[in-house]
Formats: sequence, structure tokens, C-alpha cells
Amino acid sequence: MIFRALVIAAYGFLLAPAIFVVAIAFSSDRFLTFPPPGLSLRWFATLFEHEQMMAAMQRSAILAAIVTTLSLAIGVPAAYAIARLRFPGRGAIFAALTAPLLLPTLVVGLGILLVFFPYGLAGTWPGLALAHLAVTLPLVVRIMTTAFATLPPDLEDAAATLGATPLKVAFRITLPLALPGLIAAAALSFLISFDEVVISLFIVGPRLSTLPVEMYRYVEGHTDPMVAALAVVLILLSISVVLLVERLVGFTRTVSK
Amino acid sequence: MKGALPFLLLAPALLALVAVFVVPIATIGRIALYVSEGSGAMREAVALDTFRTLFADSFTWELTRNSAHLALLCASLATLIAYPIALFLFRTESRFRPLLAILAVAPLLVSSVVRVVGWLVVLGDQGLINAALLSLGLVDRAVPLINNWTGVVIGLTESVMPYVILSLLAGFGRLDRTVEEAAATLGAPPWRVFLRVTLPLSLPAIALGWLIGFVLSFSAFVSPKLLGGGRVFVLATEIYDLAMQAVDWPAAAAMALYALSLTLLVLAAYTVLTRRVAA
Amino acid sequence: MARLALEGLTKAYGTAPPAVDGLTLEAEEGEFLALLGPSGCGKTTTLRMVAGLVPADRGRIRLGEEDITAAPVHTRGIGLVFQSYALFPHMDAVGNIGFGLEMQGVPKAERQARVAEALRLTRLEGLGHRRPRELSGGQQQRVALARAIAIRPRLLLLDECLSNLDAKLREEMRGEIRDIQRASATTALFVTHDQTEALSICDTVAVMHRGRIEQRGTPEEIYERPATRFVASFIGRMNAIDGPAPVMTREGPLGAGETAMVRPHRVRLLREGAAAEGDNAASGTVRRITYIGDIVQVQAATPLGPLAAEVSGASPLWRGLDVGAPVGLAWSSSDTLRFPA
Repeated sequence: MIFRALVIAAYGFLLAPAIFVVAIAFSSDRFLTFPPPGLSLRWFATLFEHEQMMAAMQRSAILAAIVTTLSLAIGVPAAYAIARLRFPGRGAIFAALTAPLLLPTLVVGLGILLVFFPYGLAGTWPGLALAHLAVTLPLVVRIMTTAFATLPPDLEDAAATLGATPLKVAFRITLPLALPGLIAAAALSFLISFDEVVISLFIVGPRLSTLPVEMYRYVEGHTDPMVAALAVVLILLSISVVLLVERLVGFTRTVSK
Repeated sequence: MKGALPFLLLAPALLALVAVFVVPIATIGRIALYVSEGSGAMREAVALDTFRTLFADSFTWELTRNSAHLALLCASLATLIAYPIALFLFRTESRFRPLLAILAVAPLLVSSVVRVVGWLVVLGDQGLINAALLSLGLVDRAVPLINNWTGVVIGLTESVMPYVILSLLAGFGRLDRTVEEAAATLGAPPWRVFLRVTLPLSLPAIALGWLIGFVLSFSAFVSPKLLGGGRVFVLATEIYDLAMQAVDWPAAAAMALYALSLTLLVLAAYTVLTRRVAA
Repeated sequence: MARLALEGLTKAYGTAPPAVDGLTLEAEEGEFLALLGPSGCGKTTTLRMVAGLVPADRGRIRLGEEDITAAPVHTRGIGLVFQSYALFPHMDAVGNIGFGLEMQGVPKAERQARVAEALRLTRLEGLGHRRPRELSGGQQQRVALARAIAIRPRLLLLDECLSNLDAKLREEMRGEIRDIQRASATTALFVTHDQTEALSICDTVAVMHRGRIEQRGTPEEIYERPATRFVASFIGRMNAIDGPAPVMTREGPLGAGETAMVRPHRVRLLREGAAAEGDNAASGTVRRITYIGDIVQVQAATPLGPLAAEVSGASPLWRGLDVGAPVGLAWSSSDTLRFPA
């Protein structure tokens, strides 16, 4: 009994911000006042008319799509090599490729600024996309290495004995079977890039800023329910991505690994 | 050809790693040795001036204390609150387990800025908690819960909790329900089963979860910056300010190296300790 | 449908003694050959080398007139039934069985016909559109077999493929595999550690030990005339008597440093007082009586060491016999083998 109450309280604490931000987003008041004096959709209207935010949202979506494509294109072959091929230094290469996950993003962000700025990459699309790879690529490599390593044994051998060339084995057997991992990796890459703020803060430019950065700057200046409405939109995006992945492959299987 | 295949598959990833990780970290190390000449200018050098200034400044020590204090507090609170959730998820056979597991890590799937906004709603002067306290007549004026340490501790604790939950779950491997059942058949009431069996067996998991919480809180930036309202100073906020406001890159790089080595020191200490305990 | 010849095949992993050590073995066209041995004897490595999944360190693999030692797996045209079945979980039975034909570029119409034929041969009609996880263990086994034979392989390899089935199903599948192999006249190599399986379905059995072939022969030869001590003790049950001892063997009296072996079912059980027949005899006391299906094994302690005799469960000989009772054992020298110890 006590245990159950503790669990519920802990969940309450963990989810409180997400729950109450939804309530306030529909407030008719000009401030983040609790309880909202009335309900209205005015802040969603304000948000959708906020050109700067909307432009940033579009940019972030495009950026996240580019970053996801790049991370998969680069990360999947690497993960395949680590999980399925035998060569010296495999363990070390895996450790190196996933190492950025262990270091503070703030430090990585600063380092990227120091390198990119002199080359004029700060505040550019290629610069931002590359910088986001620092967090998405290690994740893709980790998820896909697990996905490839946990494929049922013998299937690739079986296909080969049936006359499939290595390329055919990869496209007909290995990739289809690793598809759940692939979808999960793609979804997580997209969300992480779309939500990334720390590294982005270092290298966005005046003309090329992302949604989380715009939101960060907005919160530094004002606190009105528009930003709550924006938070709700982002929460909804995350939920839809999770539901989509769950629908396709069972998200829970991929997080529980 | 066969020997070249792994290399061909790995080359793009390794190149990307070098470009966005190896070179940046190395560059931090290099620029920390430059000499700052004020107003954004710096001179190429191999000098320790920046470090000398850094360590001579009492503010550095205050920031270190602040960061360590914050990380200690948040890691401990997060572990305490995450423990029941992790234990519940580890044991439950409910068909809602997948959903509850997603909810436990859900905060990871939304931007840290979104979570800060959530806390502003809950903790603000006209937020949920103050509204409740005021209407119950428990306080006369709003209690300041944001733009100070309180807000940062609350927000940061919540934001590292999902990681702590995952680490706890990963560390619970040795926890075996039958051992607890054995203790119960031997006459131990539930609370003694917990204290004598469950808790001792989950100590490695707790240590790991706490460590992850500490390391993440120590270098956290968004929560201290936004919930602290410019009144909470830690190493991470200072690194950012040095780099972006003061545009003193050598100083930012030196402090980043300093913060990074503290983090690595904690990780190394943990590794040595767990090895000693295991041996 | 080709002759398989392995010549001096060798494979070592790391510094350990070679898993397969200069193995030489032939299977005639259409022959069903069992490669029988205890786990770790190198039989699976041999099979994987033949399939092309593991490169050989030394030696040659010939299939028909062709040397396939270095040929890539997918060019060999060898059907392999995996122990794990290795069915593609994302394809239904038809997809699995047709996969190899698709790889060969067989036109769709012909492919369908051949898949249907394979389904019929393996008695899977009507199950073609089920995914592997919707099939029972025995059905999965059949799909794996159908998939391997659908490509009309020059050689069929079976890797312990019955070991995941329960006893009754296994017996049924033995017969089916045998029938299918005969009908297609495919040369087949069946790797197993289960002697009953090897002896009951194969034309020829090759017993493997420590990376080499100890003996190759018909099931009867292997059972009745084991060439080495290892084969004698590995196949069936066997009494062993260390010399010197007053025992007559097929090859003469048992001397020091030699071991005599006789199968328990060749040993006759004599009640007390009965006259010994045969040129070897021992008396002792009953230690244990064990039922092995229709057979009863009586183990006795004798001056020659522990000896076992097997009698039919229906035999009156063992009735009323109790542990501790005196008993006589007799056997003929012509059933007694002699090996250097």
C-alpha cells in the first residue's frame, strides 16, 4: 500500500510539468495563472500567427529530417560492421562511436563552436546538421548495433546457402529483420534533433535559429501561455512519434532493450 | 577487398566522429592555452595564463561548490524518487507496464525547454503550488519557487530522473523475486524483507543511478539557466556566458576542461570503488 | 545429386587442437551418409565447411567433378537444414521455400509450381501462407526441409535438425526425411550426435572423433564390427573388461594392456546352478536391475569387474531376481572384441 502510494507520488512529480502545462495552454489569461480564469484557444492562435516561431518550427523539422537521414546513412553501415563483421579493434571503435553520449553536451557544443566558427560553419545549415550528428549518430550506432547483434542466428547463412549474394542477404534478410530497430533509431534521431537546444545555442546564427533555441530565448524574456501552447504542441509531436513507432514496431520493445 | 569492407562501412561514421567530437574536444584543449586579449580577441600561444587566472579567481571555487552541491542534491533526490518507480517497473506484471515504462522515460522525449516551461507553470508565483498554498491560507504571499535554487533543484531533479530510472532498471539484474519470497517464508514482514534483502541487493543499482544523476546534474545547463532566472551560477552557466556573452573563448575552454576533468574524476572514482567492492 | 569427397580437410580455431584434423570422407551419389559423433568432435565444423560457411584451413572439398573448396556459399547449390531451422520470420512458408528459387532467377510460374511440389512432398499443403511463428515445431522443420530441397540441391546437409522435436515427432520425421531423400535421389550428409537417428535412417554411418573419421560403414558394420575402441563404446551399450583376464575374444585370449568388449544383449543370464554355455563365463551377485523399455538390464559384480546382461522383459530369466542374488553370466568368444587399452 505504502509502496503503491510512493510510486504514484513519484510519477506525479515526474509528470507534473507536462500535465499542468497542458492545462495552462488553454488559459484565457495573459499570465501563467493557476487556476486559469477561463478556457480559450487564443494562445494557440497567437502561436500559429507568431511568424518567428512558426518559421523556426519549420526549420527545425527540416533540420531534424536532414540529421535523421544523415545519421542513418552513416550510422547503420557502421553498426552493421561492428555487429556482423570480424575485424580487429571492433570494441574500441564501438566505444569511440558512442563516447559522445557520455560527455556533457555543453562541452561538446562549445568545442563544435570553437571549430566551426573559424570555418564560417556556425549559423549555417551544414554546420547545424553536422553539430546535431554529435548526439544522434552515437545513438543510432548504439541502437542499430544492438538490433543487428540480436538478429536470430543462422538466417543470413541460410539465405546464402539458398544462393543469395551478400548484397541480396543484406537487403532481403538483414535489413528487413532489423527494421524495428531502424524505425526506432530514426524516430529517436528525429526527436532528439528537433528538441536539441544546448549544442544549437552555441552555433545558431541570427538568420538560422531552431525552435528550441527560439523557445529558450522567449522564456528568458517572457512567461505567457503562448509558450505553454508551444510546449503542448511539442509534447503532442513527441506523443505522435511514439505512437507511430509503437504502431509500427512496438516502441516498448526497443526502449526496454 | 574483403579486408576493406569493414573499413568502408565505418569510414563515414569515423570521419563524422572526428569532425564533431574529436577535433572539437581537442580544440577546447588547444584554445584553453591561448591568451585572451579582451573583447573577443585572443592570441595564439601555449600559455597557462588562462588557467592561472581561472584558479586564482575565488568565483571559480564558488561555482565549483555550487555545481557540486546542486549535483549532490539533485542526484540524491532523483535517486530517492526514481527508486520506487524503477522497483515497481521491475516487478510489475501489469499489462500496462509498457505504457508506464514509456511514461517513466517520456520526459526524455520532449525538449528540456518544454519541461522548464512546465515547471514555470507549476512553480511560478501564480502557479499551481502557490495558488494552492494561497487559497488554503497557508501563506500570505507567493513563496518564490523559481528564479532561485529551489526551482533549479526541483526542475533538474525531475529532468535527470528518467536516466536514473533506466540505470536503476539496468542495475536491478541481481534482484530476484524468489529471494524476497524466501525471506518472507522465513518470517520476515514486508518492511524487513525490503531492508534486509531488497535494499542491499539493489545497492549497486542505486550507486549507478546516483552516479548518472550526479554527472548529468553537474553539467546541466538549461534548468539552472532558465529556472535560476540569472541568479543561479554554476560551472555550466558560466562556461556558456564566457563563450557567448563575454566571448572569452580561452576562459570558456579552460573552464570547460576543468569541469570535464571533474566529471571524469568522479567517473574514475566510481570505477575504482566498484572494482574494489567487487573484488 | 553428386558425389561428395572431402580430402584432408582441416580447420583449427586459434591455438587449440584442430576442430577438424585432416578429415577424409566420401559420400556416393544418392547416398545418405550420417556423420555421427559426440558434441565437440568437429562434425558441425565439417558441415559448415562443406556448406561454405566456414573456410577450410587445408584440404579439398569436391562435389561431383567440381572443386568447391573456395567457392562462395551462394554459388554452391547445397541445401542446408539448420538445427535452428533458420526460417525467415518475415516471410511465410511459401516465401521461405521460394527464396532460393527466386535467387536462382527461376520464373514466377515455375517457382510457384516447384514451391507447391515441395509443400506437397513435405505434407504442408494449405499451410503455405503461414508465417514461421504460426507453425508448430514439426511444421517449421518441414518448411526448413522443403526450403532446402526446393532448390534441387546437388547435396543436402542436415544439421542435428531433429533434435528440437519431441520423441514421437522425431521418429515420424526420420521416416519422412528418408523417403524424401530417396525419392529425389539427392546425396545427403546428416550430422548428428544421436546414434539411433544415424543408424536408423542412413545408408552409411561415419563415426567422428577428435576431428577425424574413426570408422565408415553400414549401420550393421558399425554396430557389429566396430573398428576402434571409441566406436565400440560410443555406439550402443558395451561391457568392458580390462586384461589380463581369463576371457577369450574373437581375436584370441585377452592379455595385459588390452580391453575386451561384449554387448550386454550378447551376454546370457544364468540362474544359479544352470550349466554355462559358451566359452566365457563369470559368476557374481546382482547389483542393480534396470528396465530399458522392453529390455531388462541386470548388472552384476563379478571377479572380472562389473558386467551387464540384457534380457527381454518377457523373459522368465530375471523374474524373482533381487539385488544381492547370486547369478551366472556367459557369452561367446565370437561376440567378444579385443582392443588395445
